[in-house]
Amino acid sequence: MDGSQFDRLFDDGVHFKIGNMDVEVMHTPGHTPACVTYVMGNSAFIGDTLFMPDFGTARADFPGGSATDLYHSIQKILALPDETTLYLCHDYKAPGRDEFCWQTTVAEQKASNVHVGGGKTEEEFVSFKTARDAQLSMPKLIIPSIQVNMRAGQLPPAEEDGEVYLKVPINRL
Amino acid sequence: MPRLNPEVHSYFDEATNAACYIVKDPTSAACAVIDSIWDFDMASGRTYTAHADMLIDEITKNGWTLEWVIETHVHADHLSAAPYLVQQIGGKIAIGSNIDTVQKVFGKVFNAGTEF
Repeated sequence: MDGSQFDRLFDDGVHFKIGNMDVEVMHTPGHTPACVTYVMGNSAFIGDTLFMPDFGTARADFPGGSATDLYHSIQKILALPDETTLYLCHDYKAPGRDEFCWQTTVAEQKASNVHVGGGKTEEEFVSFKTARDAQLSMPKLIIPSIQVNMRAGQLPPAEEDGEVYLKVPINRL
Repeated sequence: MPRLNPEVHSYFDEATNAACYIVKDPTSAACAVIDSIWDFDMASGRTYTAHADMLIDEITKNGWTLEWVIETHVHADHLSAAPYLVQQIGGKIAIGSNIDTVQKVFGKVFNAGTEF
């Protein structure tokens, strides 16, 4: 439970380099407790926080998720310069949009994000998010994904027969 | 020195609605992969490396060096190909330091034993 499956764990606010290029790590929890945003120059890779303005924001109802934390993380992202390009982790299209998009800006999000744009308050956001998340079904691949990804992408250890199995917890999610 | 802006290459995976990125330092060959994807077919329990192999091709044909394989979080909708990428072309795997909280919560959900 110490993250030792990973080569490096980034604390909030640390910087590291890709070649000569500086990267700042910003903790942006809410969807999960360990979510981070990577800021490099004019670009930010924001994971599951904001989605395209016409789609909204990530869900916060998985075990360990928090709509309140997500609200505050989104405010941190929206405090970046307006012209910052935000690179998303997902897109699902949206009513009236038939093409996938995964790139937007801080200014666009502030102006028109359907969940947080126009200066929605924390109370408005949390109340809306909690009600909306309760209507969502679990992602198709959540059961295999979590078991592998919490081990840094490794499969669970092989069983006595030398084969690898994933578990399906019953009535837990 | 002014902050460098990355060269960004996007690879959207329609099977999982997920965007994966290669970000490259404009002043050297160094690059990082953000949120890689290991293809998984739930019905058969089979894994595939088509998406990861495409990234490897892209990196090797351009002569880039993979320094980091980084995750924005523990994804709930696709598997990470981080270990495969590192095994094939090197790099270090990293994530946010609150991963221990995620491991505690989901270690319990999956009764993952003493490792968690």
